Amino acid sequence: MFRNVLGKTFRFLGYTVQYGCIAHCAFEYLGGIVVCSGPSMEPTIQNSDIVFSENLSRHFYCIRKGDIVIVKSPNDPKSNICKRVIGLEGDKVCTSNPSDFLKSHSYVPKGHVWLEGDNLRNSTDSRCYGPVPYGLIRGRICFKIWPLNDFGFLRASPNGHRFLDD
Amino acid sequence: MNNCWLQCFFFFPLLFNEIYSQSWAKIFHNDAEKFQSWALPISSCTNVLSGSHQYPSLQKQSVLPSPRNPEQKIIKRVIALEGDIIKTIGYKKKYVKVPHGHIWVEGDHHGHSFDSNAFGPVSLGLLHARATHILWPPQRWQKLQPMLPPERKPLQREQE
Repeated sequence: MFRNVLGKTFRFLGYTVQYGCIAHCAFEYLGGIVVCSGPSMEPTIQNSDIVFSENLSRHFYCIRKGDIVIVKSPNDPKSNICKRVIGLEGDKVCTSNPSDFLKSHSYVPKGHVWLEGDNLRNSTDSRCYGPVPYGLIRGRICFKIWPLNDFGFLRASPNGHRFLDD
Repeated sequence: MNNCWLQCFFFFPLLFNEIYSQSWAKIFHNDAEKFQSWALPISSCTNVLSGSHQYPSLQKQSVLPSPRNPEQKIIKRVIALEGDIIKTIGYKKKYVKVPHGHIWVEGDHHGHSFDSNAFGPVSLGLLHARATHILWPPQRWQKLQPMLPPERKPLQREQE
């Protein structure tokens, strides 16, 4: 009787460890479901939207200009932020706000990206804390799952004028 | 039953391999001897598995992806934590207050080290692991001691 219980416990532990490993590898290397909060990516992503993010792009260095990425916050390593990539390393970006009279530009340093939220008026992004190291990128958002009336691939940036071509 | 244990053993090496391939990469120790050593972070296995939420402590050697080149990992010593004010060597500003959520790292061989004196304070999110021992070559077997050179002490430590 006791050996039966012990056997069942070990088997249960075995399954837990096994599926824990699979889940960890999947979340780390493949992707997962993310709940977004905050107004900084409106109208593309609203508060409490559920999206699917994939992590393969960052491991293969395929993040492109215009992608929406999940990034570890540069000032708080325990929280994640969700922004759009406006410039990759070497690109020229506009560092001033749209409301500023005098526009200032700079080049994104090597190994960094320039992030901006779609809701330019209500977003703390690279215009605030500067270019973000590429190593902080956690994944790329590719698909919106909830709400169902907005199900599908994410729209292009509503701020096309922020992408400066060389 | 056998099948599930086989799958388990398949995925464990996948986890361990991450630590292996990223840390058995050549790590250049910027020390006085100036030759390449292979370092394997052993106790930092727990760091990687538990999600690296442990706050880094001063003086320990940390492995992190280079802020300039994300494909490369660098290994440096943590000199100052957020809020500390330190005197820099060859940085664009002479005195730096380490911003919130960042750390200041330096190689042990000053002047020949690509560290915070070149690229500034490093965000904590970039920290990957903590180096605890040198395994190879065998004549360099040692435990890496957490040690802060007295001349590199912060000028002002932030009070909790």
